[in-house]
Amino acid sequence: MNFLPGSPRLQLLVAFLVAAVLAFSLGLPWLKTPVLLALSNGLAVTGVIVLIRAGQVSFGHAMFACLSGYGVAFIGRAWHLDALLLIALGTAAAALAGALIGVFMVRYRGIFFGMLNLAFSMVLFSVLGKFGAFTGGTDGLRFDRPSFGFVHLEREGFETALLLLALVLAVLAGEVHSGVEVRKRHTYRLAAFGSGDAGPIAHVEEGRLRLHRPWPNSEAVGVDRLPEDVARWPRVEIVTSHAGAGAAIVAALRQTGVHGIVVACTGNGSVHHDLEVALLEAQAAGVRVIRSSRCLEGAVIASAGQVLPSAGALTPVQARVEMVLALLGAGPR
Amino acid sequence: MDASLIILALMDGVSYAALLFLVALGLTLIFGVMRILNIAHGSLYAWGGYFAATLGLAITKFALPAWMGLPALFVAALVIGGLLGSILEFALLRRILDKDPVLQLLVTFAAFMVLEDLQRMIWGSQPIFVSDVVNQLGTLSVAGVTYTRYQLLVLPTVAILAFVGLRWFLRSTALGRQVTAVTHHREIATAMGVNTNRVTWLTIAMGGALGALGGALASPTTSFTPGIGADMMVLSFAVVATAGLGQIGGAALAALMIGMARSFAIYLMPEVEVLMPYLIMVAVLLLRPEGLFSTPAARRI
Repeated sequence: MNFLPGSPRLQLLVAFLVAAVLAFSLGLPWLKTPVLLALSNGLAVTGVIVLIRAGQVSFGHAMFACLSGYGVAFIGRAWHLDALLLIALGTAAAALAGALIGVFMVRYRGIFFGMLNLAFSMVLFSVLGKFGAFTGGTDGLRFDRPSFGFVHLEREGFETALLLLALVLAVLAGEVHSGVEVRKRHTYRLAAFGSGDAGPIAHVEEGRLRLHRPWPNSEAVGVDRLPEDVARWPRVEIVTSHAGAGAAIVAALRQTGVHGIVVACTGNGSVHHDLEVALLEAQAAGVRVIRSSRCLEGAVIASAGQVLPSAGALTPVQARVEMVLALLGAGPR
Repeated sequence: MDASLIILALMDGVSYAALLFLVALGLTLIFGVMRILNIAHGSLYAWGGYFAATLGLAITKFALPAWMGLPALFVAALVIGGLLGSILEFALLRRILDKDPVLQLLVTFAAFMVLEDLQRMIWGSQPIFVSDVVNQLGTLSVAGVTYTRYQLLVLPTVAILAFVGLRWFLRSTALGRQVTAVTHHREIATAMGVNTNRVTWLTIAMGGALGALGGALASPTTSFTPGIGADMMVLSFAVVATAGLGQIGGAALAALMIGMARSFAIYLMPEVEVLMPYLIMVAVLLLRPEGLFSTPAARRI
């Protein structure tokens, strides 16, 4: 007896979506892991189901999951590419391997097909173990977490992004935002992003993209020039302008050899007077200083008489990243 | 590689091939009669081994005569193989005879998982190893190489007896001929008055006992741990695929090839040892896609 509306398939999908939303919005680790596993393993199992529909059983299908995983790791270690591109390339690598193995396997049926798949996966397993220096052996391969959609995320955010990659069209109502304008507007809500006055670049509707304005176009910042050792990055700190702010914090930063300071200003780039005096002294001493706004939306409009340069529409955190890159000689500033 | 190593590798290969053959023989026998690839066969190997080791421990514990060790291996195999085989046949295999091969594989795989977990519940995850039988029988020297009598004489003899005995049973006894008739065509055999249900049950019990015998005979030389059934199942599948489905003589040759290749690989290229069965299988299937000894069959449409 079916007490719920919709087909069992739809009910299952809805249950999964609810679990995913709950896990990631409330940050439930015990639910997050099963949801992510179900998503990734579910994709792999889909491959097995496709084979079964074709009347074949494979005992070695996991090798394709392995191939795409190692593909992503090898490419990700060699070049600092975005996660979306890495996933596409890893999948393409596995598909290519599947096509090559398929040329050989097409002659076989039943147990012979299943066992030969297993044989190929065992050969792969041995090769991976044999060339441990190259493949990391049983320790596996590690590489720095790549950017996701050209945004750098912490582990938690990255996991969420991976989930969203699969769910984004359904859950985020298919909005496409520009990297410059996008802001996280809500702490835990899933549809937490917006582009303020600019609005989204495009909407995804029924799988089709409706573009509202041209894609943003700019030079690559050159993240690859960023030294892997964080200690070698230029030190750029964010200082907040607020009532009662003073020179002490700037003096302390200068003593520790800061290279740049981003001021999180009130409104359209207003800085507390005492703080401004200290910042101007720092600027004269060679520390790069830039003004950005604490406001959620809008840009700091440069006006005559302002000595400290403006960060434009960048948030303090974005301005900090840009200054780090600029100080490394990688950015346009 | 000097002469003594070659002899050692040969003896290793023969004893390993004997075990592999016994397990593969059970698998191919069941496939021949039922047309079902019984993945749960790997569990029968593991259960046979564990049960034999338990009997071995009981013999020591209750201070029973030491000579009982060797017969206990066969008793363990017959009891466990016959019992589990019968349960599998009544509870599962009989009901999925006319089902899709993929479904049959999945059902027997599920049975394998259940048996694997039951085995873990009963015997735990600690390795079990009872080698009293091997110690009792002692060693013998061949061309200067010392080897255990158990591995060099007992295992190959049992394998050869199983092979010859099964051939004799299938060709020369009335019941064996009925098994062969069911293997060729179940429906026609039924129409001719053969009690196919009884024949099927007998075959599964025999096949199960052969699988369990492989495990029981391996128990004095192998330490049994969870997962050992899966390893042996995959290897025996490789033997059966190399030989061709339902081919008893082929299984003997394939087991010998794989056993020898594996033992020589251990001495010459240890890193490819795990790969050898698969490399041989790939090489054979490249030339003969249906296995070494299969005969071309008309496909039913």
